[in-house]
Amino acid sequence: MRWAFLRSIFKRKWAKPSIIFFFLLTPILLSLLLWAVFSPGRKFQPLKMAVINEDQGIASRIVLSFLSSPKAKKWIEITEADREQAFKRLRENKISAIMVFPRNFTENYVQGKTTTIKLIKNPAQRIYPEVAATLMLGFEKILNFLRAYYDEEFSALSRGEVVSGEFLKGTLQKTEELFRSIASFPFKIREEREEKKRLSRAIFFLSGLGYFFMLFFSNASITSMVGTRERQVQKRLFVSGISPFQYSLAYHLSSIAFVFLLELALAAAGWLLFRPQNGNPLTLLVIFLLFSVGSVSFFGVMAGIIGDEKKVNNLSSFFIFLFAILGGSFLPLSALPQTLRKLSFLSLIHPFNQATLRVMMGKEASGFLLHGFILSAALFFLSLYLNERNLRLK
Amino acid sequence: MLEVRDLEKSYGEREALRGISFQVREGEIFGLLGPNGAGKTTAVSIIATLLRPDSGRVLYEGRDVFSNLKWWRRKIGFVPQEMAFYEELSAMENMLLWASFYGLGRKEARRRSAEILEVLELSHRAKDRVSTFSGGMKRRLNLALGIIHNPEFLILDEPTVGIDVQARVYIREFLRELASRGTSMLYTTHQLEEAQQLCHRVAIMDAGEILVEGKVEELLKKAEENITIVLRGDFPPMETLRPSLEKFSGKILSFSGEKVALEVENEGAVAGLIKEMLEAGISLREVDIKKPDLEALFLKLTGRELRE
Ligand SMILES: Nc1ncnc2c1ncn2[C@@H]1O[C@H](COP(=O)(O)OP(=O)(O)O)[C@@H](O)[C@H]1O
Ligand SMILES: [Mg+2]
Repeated sequence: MRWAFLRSIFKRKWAKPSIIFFFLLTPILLSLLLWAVFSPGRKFQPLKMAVINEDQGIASRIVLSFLSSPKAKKWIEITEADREQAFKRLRENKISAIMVFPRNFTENYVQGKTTTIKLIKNPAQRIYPEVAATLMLGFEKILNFLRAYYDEEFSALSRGEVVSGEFLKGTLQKTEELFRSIASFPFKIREEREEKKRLSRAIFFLSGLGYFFMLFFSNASITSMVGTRERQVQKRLFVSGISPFQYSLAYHLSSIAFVFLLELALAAAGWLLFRPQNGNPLTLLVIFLLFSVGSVSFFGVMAGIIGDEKKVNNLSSFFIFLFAILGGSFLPLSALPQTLRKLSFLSLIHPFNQATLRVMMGKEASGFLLHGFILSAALFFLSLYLNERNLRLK
Repeated sequence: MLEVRDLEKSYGEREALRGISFQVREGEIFGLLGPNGAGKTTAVSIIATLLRPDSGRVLYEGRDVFSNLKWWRRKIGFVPQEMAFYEELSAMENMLLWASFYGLGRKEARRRSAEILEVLELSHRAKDRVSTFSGGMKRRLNLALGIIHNPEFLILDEPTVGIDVQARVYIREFLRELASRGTSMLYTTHQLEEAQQLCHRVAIMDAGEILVEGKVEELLKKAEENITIVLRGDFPPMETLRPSLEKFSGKILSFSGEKVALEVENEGAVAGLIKEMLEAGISLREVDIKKPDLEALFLKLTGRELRE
């Protein structure tokens, strides 16, 4: 290997840092923008529930009094209703769940038997019924705690004895305390869910756009090999004893290293901005490396076949956009028409983008990795061969 | 000694070289002089082993250069017609890169690079990116890169094209100095003056052929043998004019309705011819009596003028 040569042509590639910076910044800015656009700007809808209270005892009253307190009213809307009304509203998708206090709820509670609030979820909704379910769980926990805490008093109550006002006051105070902690809980849920969605969207865009922009770098980097100026230099290089193979290899390697480093820079920026929870860095490095090899070699093959930088560049932009569309750079694959989705395997971006997204979601990506590996290796050797052959003494 | 034998080369249908032969002796500056498109670059590219000839051979010290590629490439320095270096790197970085190809050690490479850049007056800009250089500076760097390894045979393809007179003179001096220390050179140019001043021997090329070859003094003598003149005006057909032309001249070199190139024996004949033409009612706009130089020789040989 001619290290001095490799080093020199690698160094050349950084001659215009401002252009490189701009091209790197664009996908980052775009994904940041999209991240902001998709942020939950719209108002949070309160959780709407109907309550069927067949109990009408003290235990259900404790819960309901909390639910109609001003603090809770900010995020929860309950209406007491009879069975018929409640189910009608559920069918009409006007509420997310129905809360049922069974007939002997208080009785069981006071006696220390297990008590459950029944919840009927609206199957047409996804998040709110789950929030309601978690909420119910919280209520039950609090009620059970209170029951255990005032065991003596409750037992006395169940025996029909008179209890002190002190006990009632204490119960209410404790209840208030405990419910306060619940009041902020659905907001946390909401934020977490929204945040996750936003994050995965941002990562989706950064990955897709990143690969899209990297194709431009790959193209520019390798096709300069068949540019007019480079051809002049080649003459002198060959006379100076560099073989076409050494030349071709060094040109490929320096371009690959260049694209790989840019890819790393982009990924590092994305990592800092979005701080994803998943994504094995080592797997990501492998994906980036394979992509650098594949994309540089793809345009290398074009250069090897066409042999003229300008002509290659004209065709390249077409391929870059095609790859980006089919590879899910602009829209998720699921949003593409069926026919296009079937063609996505033709895209150079596809296996790498999918692998990246899967890794970021904590999923397995070996299928796409293998696809990418085979593609990149094949393109690399083909490009190396074609370009070396073109440069041989004729 | 470099020996070029019957080189032929075609690009598709176009014959760029139609069998050229010449020799370059040790320590000699040999000039290939010819107009654009004569085939100089093609010839030089073959000799530098960048192109294979269709037929013919190139021998150095009796060995075929294509059969001894590595050996030959170590011996030559090559200065291509176009700028051949990396503009994004500095002059020094370019020098060190090429030095590395010839296995020069780090120290030796630095020393030689600095020395050459100094001589070619580039050392004050050695660390600047070459893309910021002027045309003349780039030309000098192009030359510098060809001699980093002190080659025993230097091939230069129009190394002074497109630069100012001062820089041209400077490069010429430099090459002469190099030759005096034993470097042989093959030098192409389309500028007769340059060939005349720099080269020991010259071959004049046109359309892929060598028209004449020899020492510069000998060629100049040939140019002096007769007077070459170019007349411009409105001429009647060749047949009407021929008797009077032939009365005074040895040879018609070329003829068109507006321009006639002639070779005549002496100045008296020039005067007589012009007088007769004017008497015949021919309107003459210009009479150009050529200096006896390589340009006149080229005109004699081809009927065309070698223009810069
Ligand atoms: N790569 C090429 N393909 C086709 N024709 C060429 C090529 N290079 C040179 N020629 C033609 O060959 C002839 C000789 O060119 P060249 O050797 O460059 O002449 P010179 O260097 O004397 O100007 C010209 O007619 C030129 O157009
Ligand atoms: Mg030329």
